[in-house]
Amino acid sequence: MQDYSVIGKRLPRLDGMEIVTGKAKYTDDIVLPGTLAGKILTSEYPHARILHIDTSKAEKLSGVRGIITGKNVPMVQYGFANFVRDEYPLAFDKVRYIGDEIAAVAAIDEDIAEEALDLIEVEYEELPSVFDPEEAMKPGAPRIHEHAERNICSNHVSHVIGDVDKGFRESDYVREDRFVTQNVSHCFLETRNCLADFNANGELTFWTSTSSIYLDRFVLSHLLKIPVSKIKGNRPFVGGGFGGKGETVSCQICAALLSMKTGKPVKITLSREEQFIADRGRHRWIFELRTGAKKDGTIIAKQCRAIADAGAYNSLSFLILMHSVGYFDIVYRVPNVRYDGDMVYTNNPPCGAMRSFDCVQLRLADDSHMDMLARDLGIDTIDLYLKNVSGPGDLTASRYKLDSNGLRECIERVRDDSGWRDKRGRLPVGRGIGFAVGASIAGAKSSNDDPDASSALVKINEDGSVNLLIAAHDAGQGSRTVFSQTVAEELGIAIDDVKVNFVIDTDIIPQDQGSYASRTTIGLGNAVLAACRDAKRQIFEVVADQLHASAEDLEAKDGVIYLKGSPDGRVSFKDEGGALSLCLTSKKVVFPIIGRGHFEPETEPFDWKTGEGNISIAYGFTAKVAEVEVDTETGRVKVLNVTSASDVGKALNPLFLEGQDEGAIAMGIGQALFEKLELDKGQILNPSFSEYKIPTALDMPRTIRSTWVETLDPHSPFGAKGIGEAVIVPMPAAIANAVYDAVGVRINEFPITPDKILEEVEKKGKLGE
Amino acid sequence: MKNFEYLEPRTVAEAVFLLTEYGDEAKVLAGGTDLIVQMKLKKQTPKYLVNIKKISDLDYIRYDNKFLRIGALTTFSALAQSTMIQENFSILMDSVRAVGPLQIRNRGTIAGNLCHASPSADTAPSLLALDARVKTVSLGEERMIPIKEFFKGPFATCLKAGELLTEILVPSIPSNTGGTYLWLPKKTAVDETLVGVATLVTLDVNGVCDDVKIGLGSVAPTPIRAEKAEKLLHKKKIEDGLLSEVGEMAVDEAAPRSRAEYRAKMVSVLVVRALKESVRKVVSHMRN
Repeated sequence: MQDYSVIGKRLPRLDGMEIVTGKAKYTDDIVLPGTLAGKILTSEYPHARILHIDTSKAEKLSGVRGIITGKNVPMVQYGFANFVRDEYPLAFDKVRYIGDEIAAVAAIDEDIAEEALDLIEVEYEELPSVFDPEEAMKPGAPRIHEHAERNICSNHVSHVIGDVDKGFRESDYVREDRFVTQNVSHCFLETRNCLADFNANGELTFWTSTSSIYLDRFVLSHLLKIPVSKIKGNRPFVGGGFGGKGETVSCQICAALLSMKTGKPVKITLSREEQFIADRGRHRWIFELRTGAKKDGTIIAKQCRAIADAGAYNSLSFLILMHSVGYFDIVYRVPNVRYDGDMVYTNNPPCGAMRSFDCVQLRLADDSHMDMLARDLGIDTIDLYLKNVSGPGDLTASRYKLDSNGLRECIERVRDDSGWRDKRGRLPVGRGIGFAVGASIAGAKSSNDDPDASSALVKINEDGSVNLLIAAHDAGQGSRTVFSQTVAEELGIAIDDVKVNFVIDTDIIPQDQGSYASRTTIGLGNAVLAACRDAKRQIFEVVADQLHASAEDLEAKDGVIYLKGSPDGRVSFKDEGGALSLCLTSKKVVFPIIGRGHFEPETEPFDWKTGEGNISIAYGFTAKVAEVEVDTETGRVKVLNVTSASDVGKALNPLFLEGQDEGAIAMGIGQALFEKLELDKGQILNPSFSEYKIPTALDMPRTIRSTWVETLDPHSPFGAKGIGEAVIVPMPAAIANAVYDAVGVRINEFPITPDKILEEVEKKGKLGE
Repeated sequence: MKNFEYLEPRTVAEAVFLLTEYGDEAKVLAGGTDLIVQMKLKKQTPKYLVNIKKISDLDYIRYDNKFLRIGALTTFSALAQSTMIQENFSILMDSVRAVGPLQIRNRGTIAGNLCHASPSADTAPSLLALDARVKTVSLGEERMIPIKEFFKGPFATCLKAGELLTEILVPSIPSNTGGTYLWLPKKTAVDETLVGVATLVTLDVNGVCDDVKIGLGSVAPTPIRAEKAEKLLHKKKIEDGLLSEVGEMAVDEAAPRSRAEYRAKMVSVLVVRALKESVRKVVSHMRN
């Protein structure tokens, strides 16, 4: 393997000190003189027609500066993909969930804005509502969107490969299971917000906590009919995203509209309660799984019937369903596969994208199911996976091209590192060990109406230092630091000589689509690498002239540009005085060198009816083993240790990978054991951190062993693949399987709570049999 | 948060005067870990907020071998750091450690915990088992209220308008006595208490139970004593069969509302565990 000077090193975050000392500036820290506070009025009914909105009393309240309702906002629908756009910035005819935005107020302070909300009178005509996706699909169920028959979002998806029925007939054993997952919220610390400032020249400047400032600018331009050239977006530090900040939402649009109406800057920052309601987290899925296998564990057929509750609007739901199809068969080689899926509208709050695009729920169900299948067959679960695991070069049933795939090695490694062979089935009652696998896309593909481009600029300064200008939407992943490593490595300079912008300012920083789909490592990474190479080519031209050599014969390393194989022919990047000697000593004029880099993945066909098509540039893989202790009297579960191995292509900075893995383990524990958005007729009952609980430090395992499998993906800078999403995927299932190993009960409706465990244990009678 | 007038008395007398003057429209602010949250949610909308933190002589922990006296402004962290409490009132220390994360312990006060009167207040079961009492001051009057009579319902106490809790008194623990507080959180490790059980057991030299007190938290409208369960143990030797009977009796005395079935089961599990642990403490102490 190639030897690198900076890549692969455990380097700390460039912005770590600023964050931990509280100096980093987030959107809410930015204060413009005369800023008004914005607040949004939301629906109290899950489904109702809006008959009349009377804002007159609110307008008379002293301190109120502007009010907008659905009537004042552009009648332009937005949302992902043109065939499933179903949202307006403010509801004007109907509300479809408790929390649907109806009106927005700008006032001199937040208290007055809140008081004004109370004074807005809305006359509703209540409509019948539906909260269960299976009910919503039945004939006669209330119709939530005119365009959606049987409330099915876009279309039914049917993916069929081979002959599943024949496969089941030829199997020695067939197992069926049904699992239901829960709604889970992102719980990023910084709630969604926007500060918008519309000036007299008709220019809009906004600051917002986002995973995609360029998409926000695009949506605002599209909705507000302001040309992109007159909109400037700023993305300061961001306090977490986990997929929940990739979509432009009502509070951003309302801030802009209110600023346009009042001529003043307007800031809207969602409260924690508002954030829980507007969050768009993980869907509630119902999976009915069927797998047929030979006695030796060879899987002949797999079938999945999946129904998910999209909530009141599509958001990214339909795209998530597409991914679910592929995530069903990405980890196996199976000749016969059938996946039938529906995303269904209900009057619950909408769901959207969250870390792994719901692969975590699918694998939670399927890895639980496969664990049971292995036990039924009398085969070790890990052996069952190794017998059927997908490999490098595979084209999956869903047409994913797995050019690099280290899943087998991940599985073998966690088996060996965790002591699986000695522990599985041999631990005392109350102790258990469980295994599961995960996968995720690592980058998006372009489609005809949705390009997925990245770009970067590398500016060489007069002292030999380098500015990297990129729209790295770093919300904790460490991408700014990793790309500094990239620049340092490629130009052969020290990382301290590379400076990366913190704020993404759309007037200055070249485009990138944002941090979603684990795409930054490959997408932006390739653009950064290209920009470095472009800069280096320009530098080499100057140096070649100086050394009377050819540019092709030059190399850059350790701050020196030298003639390959000739120790005398060298120019240092910096001279004694710190100036870039190659510029100053050249007979040519001093000129700024700017490297430009661009990357766009090739477009590949994708079938929206079947969910088939190569959806990503590369795919990340992971396997995890969890060991748990279950208190057999109280039903409480403690995760004791976790062993993890992930195919990251190439570990660019192991420190950050460990951070991703540990964060994913925490999030996975939450999903498995604690987290659930409690809904009653569309109302969220626990919209606060005192009632919606995420794991604390004390809930974390004592030991985490994270290791990396390096498969060097051919499409990626240095072979690396984004792994932020894949790493969470196996965690909940590994816990579920460990709980079964410990006390012999299977909870099919998540999360796995002490109450449910005790109930099942009692049903089962004597323990440990 | 609704607007309010902020008042900062410097003495107990001044505070009591203000509380009498403003009656039900006033709220006492100490640590604020419950009150401020309630005010933000507009569940409490006092017109007058009487901050007692500037009163100089309410933050103390004293022990004279007869009574442990805790001033109303003593924080959980101050209690947690007291080796005297660890040595002489370990059951109370268990309760203190069950409270919140460190940030809450740093601000929250034990008196505030009692006055907020949450059914799940962690210090209440232990104070019930310890037969603690609270001292209150109102205009021209002082009262000594047994903790058993202090709680009147969920988030309701017997404190009258104009009355300020100034001190918690805990009688010293007799020899041959062991105490334990066990709790289960609602979900995560740092969370509101789902079930809390405090037991205090005194044995005679033959290992027969001389006295036992069982305090239950979060399983009834107020923290309660399980007195029928206590009676079952009186003058008995503590054995496994008897313990499960005691556990079941405690379940009968509890009246949990949400997650009722699970909470009831946990009362029995924790009562048995806490009693065993308390006995273990006495026995190991006797051996030493």
